[in-house]
Amino acid sequence: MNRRMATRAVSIGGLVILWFVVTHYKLVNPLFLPPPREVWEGAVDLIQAGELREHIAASLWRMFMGFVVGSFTGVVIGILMGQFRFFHAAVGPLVEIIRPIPGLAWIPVALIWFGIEDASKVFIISMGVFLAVVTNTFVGVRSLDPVLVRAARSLGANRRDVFFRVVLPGTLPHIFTGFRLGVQVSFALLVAAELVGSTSGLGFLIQDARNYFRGDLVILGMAVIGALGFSITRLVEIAERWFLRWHSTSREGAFY
Amino acid sequence: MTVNLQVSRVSKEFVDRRAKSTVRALDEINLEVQKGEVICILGPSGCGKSTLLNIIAGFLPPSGGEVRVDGRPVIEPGPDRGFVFQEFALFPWRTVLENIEFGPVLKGMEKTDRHTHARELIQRIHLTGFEDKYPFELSGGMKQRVGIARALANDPEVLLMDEPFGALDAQTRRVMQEELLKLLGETQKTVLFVTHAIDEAIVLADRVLIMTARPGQVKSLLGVDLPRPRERTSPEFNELYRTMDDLIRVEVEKASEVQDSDSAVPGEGA
Ligand SMILES: Nc1ncnc2c1ncn2[C@@H]1O[C@H](COP(=O)(O)OP(=O)(O)OP(=O)(O)O)[C@@H](O)[C@H]1O
Ligand SMILES: [Mg+2]
Repeated sequence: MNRRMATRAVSIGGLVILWFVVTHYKLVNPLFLPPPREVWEGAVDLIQAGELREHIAASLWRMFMGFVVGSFTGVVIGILMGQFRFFHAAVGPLVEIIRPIPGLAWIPVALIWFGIEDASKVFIISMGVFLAVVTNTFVGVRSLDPVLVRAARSLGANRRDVFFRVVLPGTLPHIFTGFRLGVQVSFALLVAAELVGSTSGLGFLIQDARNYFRGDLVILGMAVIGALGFSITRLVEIAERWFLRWHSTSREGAFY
Repeated sequence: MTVNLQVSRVSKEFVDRRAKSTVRALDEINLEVQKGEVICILGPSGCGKSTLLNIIAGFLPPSGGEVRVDGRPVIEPGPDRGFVFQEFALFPWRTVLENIEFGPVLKGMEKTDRHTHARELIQRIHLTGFEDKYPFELSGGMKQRVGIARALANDPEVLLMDEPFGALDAQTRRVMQEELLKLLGETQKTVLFVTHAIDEAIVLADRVLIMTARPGQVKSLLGVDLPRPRERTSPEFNELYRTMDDLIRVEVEKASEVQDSDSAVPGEGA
């Protein structure tokens, strides 16, 4: 564990040092890649003005809402599709038609329908998260071993018990797979949507800085997105490991 | 002695809609089991042993006939009939203790009572110290001990066991047989136990039901009047073994003929 941390520190530190060296000896045009100090100062300015916090808050809020809406509908519809043939027959084709449309293709229509405020981003993200979660949930319900349902029934479970005590926990590993995919998708979609039409958020920060030739702030925005993405992925992984501690592969699957 | 389990003229046909054919799995099975009796069921593969157990459990409806437990007709699965599966079927997300408590929780038993009850069972299956392990951390033998304890935790009238030791190695099997006998001696459960191993049937059973090839019928019902614990090496044991082996062999041969004719395509061949 400690060794892993050390390795990480070395690799990230190494990148920063490389950055420093490359810019210090003017190996690249500073317009293309500003030196670390400049980015640092830009960050301090932005933090003192309270702007960075606002952009981060705007982005996180959209992601959070999109994630909640998308994963909730994904889990519910995925379970219904898995449990009821009729529902699968009715809704399955709709999902399959929506799936091949890239998330980015929803951006224009979302802007038309919902404007450039939060709602359009929430819509786009929830769409992406929904698709990731609904399929995995469906597969999870379908791949549940029916013998477990029999076991529960013979122990006195009624249909409700079977649902909450067997189907739901049994599908959880697949649901989490959907969540993990959903987080990745939602980052991509959020930033893209903010780049195209927005007045706040990290994507907007990058775009706005580019317009004013503020290379330092472009780099800063990207670094913040990277750090946030990393942290949120970690959080989901931690949650997954806790919820799936009974799942042998959730441990075997982690590389150390 | 009271009749605890009554199987009357139970038949089962599986309909395959796509192939537009039916498979007759069971044909008018009759069986009366006394309270506390252990019945082992032997028969060739595919003769309908699992089907019979599934019908008694209420997992499958019979095509004809009925099953009664303590006089009440079986219409759906229920906690009066515990089931032990060949593939263990433990809930992977529940610990040993939580698996065993599954039935009591559903019954609404209070937490402290439930724990005491489950811990006592855990002690009887020699898994003390493993209460908080998850199934993936257990060996096959341990898993099936939990499977048995989970079924017993509901204190069912009847225990249905479908090749419960079929996935275990020979050594573990022997140990499990002995432990099961001990558990059953303490609880006086009525048991239906499906197996492919004749010696297992003779060690465990009060009576052995031998089924015919598909469609499964009762071929013979033999009492095992050997003193317990039963010695596998005794002449009586071996005589009984041979008798049963002969009876089953005939049916296994018939079963393989049935399969050959099933798979034969008309118009094909030399
Ligand atoms: N759900 C089902 N649908 C169609 N046919 C079935 C179904 N379940 C069982 N059968 C058929 O019914 C017959 C009896 O099956 P069953 O599983 O009861 O046999 P078995 O005696 O338990 O065999 P084994 O010893 O191999 O476990 C078989 O021919 C099987 O193919
Ligand atoms: Mg079987």
